[in-house]
Amino acid sequence: MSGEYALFLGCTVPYRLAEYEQSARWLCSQLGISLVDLPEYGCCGFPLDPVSREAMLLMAARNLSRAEQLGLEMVTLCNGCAGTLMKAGKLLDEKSELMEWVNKRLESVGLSYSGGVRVRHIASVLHDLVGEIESKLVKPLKGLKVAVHTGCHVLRPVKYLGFDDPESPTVLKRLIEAVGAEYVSYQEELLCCGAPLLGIKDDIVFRLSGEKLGSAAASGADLVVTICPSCFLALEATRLREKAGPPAIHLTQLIGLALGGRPEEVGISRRQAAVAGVLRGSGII
Amino acid sequence: MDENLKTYGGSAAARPDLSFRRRLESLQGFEGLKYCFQCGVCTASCPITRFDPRYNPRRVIRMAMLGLRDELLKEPSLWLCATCFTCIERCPQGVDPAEVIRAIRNLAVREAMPEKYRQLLSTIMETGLAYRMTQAHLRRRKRQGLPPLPRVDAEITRRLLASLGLERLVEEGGD
Repeated sequence: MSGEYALFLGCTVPYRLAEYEQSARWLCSQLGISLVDLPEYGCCGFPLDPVSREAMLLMAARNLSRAEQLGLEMVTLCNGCAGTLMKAGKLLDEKSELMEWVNKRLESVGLSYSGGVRVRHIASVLHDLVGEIESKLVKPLKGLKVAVHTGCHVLRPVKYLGFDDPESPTVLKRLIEAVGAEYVSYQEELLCCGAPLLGIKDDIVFRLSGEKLGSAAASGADLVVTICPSCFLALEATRLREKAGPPAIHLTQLIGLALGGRPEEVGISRRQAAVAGVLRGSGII
Repeated sequence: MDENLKTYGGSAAARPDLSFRRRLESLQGFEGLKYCFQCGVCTASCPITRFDPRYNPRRVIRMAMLGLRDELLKEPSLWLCATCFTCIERCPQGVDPAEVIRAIRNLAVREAMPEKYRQLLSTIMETGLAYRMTQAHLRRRKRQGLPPLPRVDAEITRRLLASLGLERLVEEGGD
């Protein structure tokens, strides 16, 4: 047993990318990570921060309060959820007047939060288990060139997160090397994908993600690994529009394949035909 | 007169509002505002500026320091920040530029909030989540062998957001 977590599913993963959820659940079961779905949950608060900081704090706090009731650390599959819940948790832990304000509101709906719930991103949990992943390798991903896109909201602001070095991240690199693939560095590895501007200023998203994919392609990457549903969607929307650049794959799918997961077990469906093509070309599936 | 305002020369083009600046400085997110020395590392590091120079975080911070209330609240580029937080990480003065911009957005929601945020707020208030899960989604989960979606407490979400008066924003935007 490698731990028990309250899974915070969020909105984008179950709505748009259930295959990411599928691969994460499969991988966790292989690694002895037990997931309890966080009950009575709701939006993490991320989309409401530009509208109202108070709304963001209340949404995050009501979810933190549910995890506190369960007595479990929280794990998320999304950078936006992870970053928001970590930031809100830290602000509440550090500012007693905020905590008091939040609790007054929570009280009116029968909830309370006393603080200190730890929030993790699944990639960070997997990084802790890198030795175990190496020892359970069934199919090393030899010959596969993989670029990484860690995504902004688990990297910065580092004062709330502590996930990785924001200027020179290594968590995903380590995991890619652990499964026998070749990590490919590229000029624009740290560039934002622009996803929060989807539906607001799509042309900027396509320019950011396009620059990123072009740079990854120039470095010879076969695939770009992501750990966030929004980054994944921005990169894929851009790739399909530009008809260029390596396809995106969820980290949990990549590791799952190396641990012997069949494509259907890690959710590689017709929707990811380009990924399947690359994997077949490398003799992985 | 405030030292910062002298350089502005009392131009008729914009009216600095010190009381607005003081109000900003009292809000969460603006704590570091007075320490900005306009080095421009925020703008130099900004991925949005790189592709769309109309967005200039250093300029927005300067406007906030001058208390240019009307100009700030209507500033369309406010809504171009992608919240990558590079400026927060690199600011040598701890200004947290993206936080300042987020806080100004909070003040500007009535003036210039993009329709996307009104829709998100409306959906979250109604369903508890940012997207409307349909029966088709739930059936697809079952086919993929996924457990049922955990229960979403939409009622608690609605009550918490209503306690902030946010339903007014949803109603106002509809017309």
